[in-house]
Amino acid sequence: MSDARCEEFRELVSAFVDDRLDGGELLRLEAHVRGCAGCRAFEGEVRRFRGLLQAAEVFRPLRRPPPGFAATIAARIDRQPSAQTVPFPEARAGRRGSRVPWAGLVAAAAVAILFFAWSWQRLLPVNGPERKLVSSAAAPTVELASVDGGSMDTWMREHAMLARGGTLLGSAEEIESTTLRSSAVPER
Amino acid sequence: MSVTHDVQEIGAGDDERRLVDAARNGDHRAFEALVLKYQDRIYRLIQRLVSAADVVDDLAQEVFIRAYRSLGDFKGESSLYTWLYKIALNLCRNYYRTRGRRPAHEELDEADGATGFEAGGGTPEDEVFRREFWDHLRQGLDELPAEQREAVVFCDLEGMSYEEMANVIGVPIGTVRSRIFRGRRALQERLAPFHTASAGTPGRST
Repeated sequence: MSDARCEEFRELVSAFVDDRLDGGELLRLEAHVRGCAGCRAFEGEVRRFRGLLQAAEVFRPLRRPPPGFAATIAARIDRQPSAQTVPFPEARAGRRGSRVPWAGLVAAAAVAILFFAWSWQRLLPVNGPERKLVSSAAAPTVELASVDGGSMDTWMREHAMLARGGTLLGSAEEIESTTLRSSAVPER
Repeated sequence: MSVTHDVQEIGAGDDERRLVDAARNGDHRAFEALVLKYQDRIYRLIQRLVSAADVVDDLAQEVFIRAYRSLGDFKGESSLYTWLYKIALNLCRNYYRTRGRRPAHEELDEADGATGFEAGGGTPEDEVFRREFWDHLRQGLDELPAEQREAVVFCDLEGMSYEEMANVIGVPIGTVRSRIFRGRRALQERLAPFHTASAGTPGRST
């Protein structure tokens, strides 16, 4: 009998020792071991191995928890919020489960609308009344820069000011200097 | 719901579910009763999975602290004991992941201070034999791949059924069977000298 074939049967022997083999696998194993002294011996080895493991703990008993172990645990949990008030991972997951998908759906819908609008403009026929839309949208950046450049700049300055804990009522110099420091760690 | 329990009166026949509910509602005494009920088994399991004696107490405490914190996760679909086993198993896996490849059997001796061996009778040679066997066994278990170590410990030392193991480890029964086989074989090879030298037990004289 080949070693590779015995390898397969030895896993069955291991399960057989655990009384976990029946049906077709048991019949196959029985047929095999009739002609395989190695696998028959292996059964004895597995049984003896288990005996050795269990005997080892007889001679080297495992330790028991130290006296006061449960009281130590109780003292630790006494210092924590009660189990009732602690937001369990499951509860947190539940809340996330109810919030995140909605937020995600809203965001996804907004992106989809914007994308659809952009695609619609791009896909419109070149010849036709909408051609102007394509041509006017062809340079949106320029328009944004020219029309909204000032307000974008103001917006950035305001947020930089807020980021450092300031107010929106600072002087132009303060706002300017805040904008320049906007990447630095807030000083206050 | 607020239930006051006399810890000394809590026994195996008490309603575990009631204790869990009470603990979940902030009754720390109820949770202490659950700790008392399962501390021996959890402590034993961790010693079997982790050979470094100096971390057993910390790990065992952490099992119960985590159980308390996430008591809301426990649905009662499996026994509380199985649930605690899963927590213990995860903590032991984390321990092995973070501790590196240091030989834990040395940690064991240093942490113990004493040998921890029972007087097994027989000759001094028998005593030496038992100690050597124990050292090889612990080192061998420690060096097994985690999934094989868990399988051997659960099956041959904890006496768990394949179904229980599949539930705790979270793998199919066929995988459990395969891991047990491979773990046993690897350990058997490591302990081969003891097989041939022993008449059947580490005591040799039996």
